[in-house]
Amino acid sequence: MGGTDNTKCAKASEIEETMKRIQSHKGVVGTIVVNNEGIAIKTTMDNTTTTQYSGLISQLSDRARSVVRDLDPTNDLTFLRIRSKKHEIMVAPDKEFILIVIQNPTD
Amino acid sequence: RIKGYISDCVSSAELRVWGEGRGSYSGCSPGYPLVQGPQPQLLNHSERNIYSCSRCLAVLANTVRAEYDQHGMNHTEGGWPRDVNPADEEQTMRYRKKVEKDESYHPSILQLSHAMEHTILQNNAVNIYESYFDEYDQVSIAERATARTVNVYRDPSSVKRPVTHLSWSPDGGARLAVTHCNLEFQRAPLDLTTFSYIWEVENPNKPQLVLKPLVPLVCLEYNPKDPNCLVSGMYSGQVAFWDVRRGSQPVEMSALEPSHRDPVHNVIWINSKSGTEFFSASTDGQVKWWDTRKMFEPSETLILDMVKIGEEQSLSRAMGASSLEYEPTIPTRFMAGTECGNVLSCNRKGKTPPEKIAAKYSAHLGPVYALQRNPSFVKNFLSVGDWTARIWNEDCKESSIMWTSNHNTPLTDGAWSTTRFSVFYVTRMDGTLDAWDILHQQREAILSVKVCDDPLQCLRVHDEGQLVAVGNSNGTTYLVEFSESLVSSNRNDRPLLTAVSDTTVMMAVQRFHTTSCIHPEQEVVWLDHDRADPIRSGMLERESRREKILEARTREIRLRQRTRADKAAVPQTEDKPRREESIVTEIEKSAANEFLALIEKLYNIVLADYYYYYYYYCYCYCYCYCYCLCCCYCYHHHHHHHYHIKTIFTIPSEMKTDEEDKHSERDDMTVEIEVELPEDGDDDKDDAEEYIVEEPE
Repeated sequence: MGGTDNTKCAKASEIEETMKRIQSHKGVVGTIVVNNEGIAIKTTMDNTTTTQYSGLISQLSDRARSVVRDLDPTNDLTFLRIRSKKHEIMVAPDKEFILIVIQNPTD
Repeated sequence: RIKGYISDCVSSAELRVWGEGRGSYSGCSPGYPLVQGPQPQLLNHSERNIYSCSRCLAVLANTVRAEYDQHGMNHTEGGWPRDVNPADEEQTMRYRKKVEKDESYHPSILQLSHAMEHTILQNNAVNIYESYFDEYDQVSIAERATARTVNVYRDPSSVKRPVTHLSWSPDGGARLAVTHCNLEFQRAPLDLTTFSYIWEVENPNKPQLVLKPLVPLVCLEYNPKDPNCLVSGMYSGQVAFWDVRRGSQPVEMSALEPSHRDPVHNVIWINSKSGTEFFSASTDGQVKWWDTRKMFEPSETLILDMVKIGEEQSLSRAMGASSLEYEPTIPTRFMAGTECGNVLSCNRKGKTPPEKIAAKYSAHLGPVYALQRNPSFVKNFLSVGDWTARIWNEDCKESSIMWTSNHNTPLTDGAWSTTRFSVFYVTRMDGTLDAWDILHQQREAILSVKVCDDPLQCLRVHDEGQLVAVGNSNGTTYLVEFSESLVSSNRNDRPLLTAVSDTTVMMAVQRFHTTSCIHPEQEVVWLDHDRADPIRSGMLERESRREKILEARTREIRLRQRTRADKAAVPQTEDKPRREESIVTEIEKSAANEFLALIEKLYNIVLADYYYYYYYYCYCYCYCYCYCLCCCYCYHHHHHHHYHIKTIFTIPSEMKTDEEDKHSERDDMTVEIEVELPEDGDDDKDDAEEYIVEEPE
C-alpha cells in the first residue's frame, strides 16, 4: 500500500513536473487537461477561459476524430493544431483525456 | 417476406415499401413498388415489372413526422455527473482529484505531453507558417517570350496578291479586314481580282465578307467608333466608304478628278464630332481630308512640300507620303512619312503652308513604311524604314533617340504593342516577325519569329495586345499569338521608361562597325535597365536629353563655323589658334563642369552592378558617345581622334560626399581620366574644334 502510494506520489509529481515544463516553454500561454466528458481536470489558466476551451475544444476534437475515422476507419486522430492570427491551439487527444496547449508562435 | 427499405422521406403521409431497387431521398424514385397487384386500369409502363413477382399485400401506414433541428450546445459547464454540483467548489475539486487518481490518467498524460512537447518545440524552432516576402511587391518572373501562329488566312483568289493592309474591327477585334493589291505597276498579272476580304478571326476557311470594288483596295480602315463602317483607299487614288451591312459594294466612292493621282497608301479616321471624317495620304505628295457624307470631293488638301513663307507649294516638288500617323488624342496634328525617308510633322490647323508642315525629321534612307506614336508616351514615336527601326522624341529633330542596328533584310512595317508600351513589333522581308522590348534588350529583338518564307508586308497589333496579324506578299495573313510576357505590362515599366532621373549614365551603342575596326566585338553596351529602381530609370527621357545635348553641341559648332566663315576675309595669323581657343575654352569648360556635376550625382548609384562602366566620349567634347574604343573613330563626326581616353575617372576627395568615401577607395567609385595629348602638327585635325584641353579637375 505504501509502495503504491509512493509510486502514486511519484507519478503525481512527475505529472506536475511535466505540466510545469510544458508551461515553461517559450510562447506557451496555457495548458489544460480535459477528460472525455469535457471537464477540465488540470489547468494553468483562469476558470472562465478554461471552461470555454474545454467545452469547445473537446467538441472540435471529437468532430475531427470522427472525420478522420469516417474517411478511413483504420485511421485515428493523433494531433490537432488550430492556428489563428493570435496564437496556436494544440490538441493532443487520447481515449480518455485531451491535452490542450495554447502557444504564441514565434514571430 | 417483403424485404425493403423504408425511405427517409417520411414526410409523405404514405409509407411505401420499396423493392431492392433503392429509392432516392427526394421521393421520386427509380425503384418500383413490389406491392401492388396488377390493376389494368392503373397500369403504366414503369410498373410492368411487377408481373414477374408473386402477389403480395399492400400495407399503407402513417407515421408521425420526425422533426430535425440543428443548434449548438452551450457547454458552459458540462459533463459533470449527476451527483456533482458544478457550482459547488469543493465537490468539483473532489471530482477532479478522483479523476487524477484514475489508473489511466498518468500514462496517457505522459504520452500526450510527449507529443505536445515535440510540437511546442517545433513551433519554437521554426515558424512553419511564416509567409515570406510580404513586404515585397510581386515581381513577375522574366520568362522567355514565346509566340505561335494561331490562324492562317489565305487569299481565296487563285492568283495571289500581296497583303497591303490589315485592320482590326473595333468591337474587341473579332474581325480582320485584309486588303490585297499588287502594287507593282504594269508588272502584275492581268487576271487579278480586285477583291478584298473581311475575315472572322475564328473562321479562316471562308471570309465573312468579300469586298468587290472596281479597283483594288490598297488600304482599309475600320471606324474606331463603329464596327460596321470602313473607309478605303484604292489603287486609282480614289477613296471609298463601305458599310458591311450594305454588302460587297461600296456605299460611296470619291470622284476621280479631286482624288489622289497615285495609289492611296494610308487612310485614317479622324477623331471628330461627327465621326465621319477621315484623311488619306498618297505617294503623289498630297494629304486630303474627306467627309463620308460628302465623298465626291475632299474637304481639304495639303501638299507635302516644305516651302518658306511666301513661296508657293508645288505638286511636282512634293514628297510622296508612304505612311501616315495620327493619334486620336492629339486631334489636329499628324505625321506623314515620305518616300525619301523624311518624316513630316504637320498641323492641320496651320494657316500657311510653313505652319502646316511644322517639322521635318530625316528618318531613313528609304521610304518610311510605318510611323506610330507610342500609345502611352505620345511624344515618342516609332518609325520603320530601310533596315532599321527608330524611336524618336518629337523635340529632338536632329536624330532619333534610339535605333536598332541594321538588319540583314529591309523592314517593311512596325507597330507598338497596344498593351505593353516598351514592346514593338517589326516585320522583315525574310518573313520574320521581330518583337523588341526596349526595356530588356536594346541590342536585339527579344523574340524573332519566322512566320513564313515570303516577305512579310504589313502587320497590325490586336487591341488586346496578344495577337498580331501579319500579311505576306503571297496574300496569306498569319495570326501570331505572343506569350504573356510580351503582353502584360509591369508596374515598373512606366517609370523605367519615363521618369526624369538625375543620376543617369548615358551610354550609346552603334553596332555598325566599320571595317577599320580591329576588334569588332568590342562594343559599348546599353545599360541593363532590368532593375526596378526608379533612380536608374527614364530611358526615353534620358535618351531625349542626350539627343538634346548633342543638338546643342552641333548648333554651337555650326554657329562657330559661321562666325569663322564671316572672318574668312581676315588673314590667318599665328595667334589665331590661341584666340579661338579662348572662345572655345569657356564653352568647353562649362561642358566639363556639367559633366563633373553629373559624375558627382553618380555617386549615389552603386556602380559595381554595372558590368560596363566606361564613359567613352569623343575628345572634341561632342558628348556623342559614338566613339569606338579601339580605333578612336568618332561616329558622330566621322573623324579620327588620336587621343586615348582611359575611361576611369577619379573624383578628387573634395567631391566625395560621404565620410567613408573619403577614406575608402572603392573601385566602383573611382573614375580616372587619363588623356594622352597629341603631338603638335597633327594633320588629322580636319575639324578645328579639336583643341587641347587640360584635364578636368
